[in-house]
Amino acid sequence: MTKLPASGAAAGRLADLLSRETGQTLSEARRWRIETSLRPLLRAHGLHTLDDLVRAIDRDPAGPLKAEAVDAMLNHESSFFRDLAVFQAIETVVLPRLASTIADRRLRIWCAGCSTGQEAYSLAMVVKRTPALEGWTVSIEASDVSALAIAKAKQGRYSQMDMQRGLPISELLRWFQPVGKEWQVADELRQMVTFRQDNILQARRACGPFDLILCRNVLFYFPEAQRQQACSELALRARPGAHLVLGAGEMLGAETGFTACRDLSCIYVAQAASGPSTLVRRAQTQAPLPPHPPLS
Amino acid sequence: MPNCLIVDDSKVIRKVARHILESLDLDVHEAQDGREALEMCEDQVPDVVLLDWNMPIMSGLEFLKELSRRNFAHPPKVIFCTTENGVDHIRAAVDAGADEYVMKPFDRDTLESKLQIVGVL
Repeated sequence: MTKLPASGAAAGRLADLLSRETGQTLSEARRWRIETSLRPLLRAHGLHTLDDLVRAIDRDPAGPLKAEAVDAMLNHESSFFRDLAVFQAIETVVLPRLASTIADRRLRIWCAGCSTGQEAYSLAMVVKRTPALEGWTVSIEASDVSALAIAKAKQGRYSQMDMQRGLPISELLRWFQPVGKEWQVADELRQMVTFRQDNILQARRACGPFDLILCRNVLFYFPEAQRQQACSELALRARPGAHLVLGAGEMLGAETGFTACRDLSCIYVAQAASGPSTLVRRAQTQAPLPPHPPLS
Repeated sequence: MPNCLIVDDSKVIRKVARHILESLDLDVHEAQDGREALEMCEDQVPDVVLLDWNMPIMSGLEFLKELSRRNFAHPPKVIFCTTENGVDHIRAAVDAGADEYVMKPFDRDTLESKLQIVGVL
């Protein structure tokens, strides 16, 4: 195993790099993750320590190693139907509620921070089995800051261990085919989801407005200023009455433009405005989105 | 506390599964073959059965069919836990009434997730 002498300075440099490139912070208490998550990258590049990695990045700051290091430090944890109760709430309450309020039978969903795609595909499965959405045009846009995660999500191929975490066996039989030791998601589901690499802080390409947004276990990686910026992006892209689903323990204040659902944990509703949402107004006037400030 | 019956002829698998299930606050019982498991079900119907496929005396599928014939008022949820990972086997198990299917090897997250899906956790 690669020996990794702890280097606080190198870990600090790498944490700064992560923050500059993605807006995400790693507290001192969570710096241990840096060594663990970068170990495979060090091995792949024949490097021995975090100091070696920092020096290699400094030698070629425009090279691919920097992006690879940032990607490796991101948390890619995901599973099908993660937090089952949330998906049950989406299926039994949120989707029927949205179906009863949207006249044009078009539903637009955004998975912000979709990691390796399990959440987006889980939503697609839920949509497919929701009677109230039969005959509807449903699109799911899914974004994540990690290029590696998005590549895996687009491929839609998962290991046996991935398949066993949260995916009901009935859904496996319906939507997956074995390919060697892995499982391939059906084209019918893949065609429902558009994956793209995108940072929620600079979500230029996720156009919206959306009726349902999932942004789970993302906000807590941001310091306060970036968290507020992320909330603004979510509010900007939410149609009035849209539902926003956060991770367990993540909360929003009323000033964000969302109101907590009294009957549904972790779920918020975009407050109704007197007119169309900001994004709709912008689209109507053909005005471009304002430029985003640099992260650093 | 929900109770789980592990049906597996491998002592090692039973030990590993017991360790995980007890950490999930389940009351765990063990049977090393289908006949013993059916006798235990007659005494006390468990909430969930973790069932191997290939066993002596009767296979997991034969056990499941026998269990269905018992017509218990509150039949247990049945989760297959097997190295038989092909689609044909999975479909046969589901057609025979299995509620879930675990492909070995498994870990704590897998068992916890399957127990949540069948409503035991």
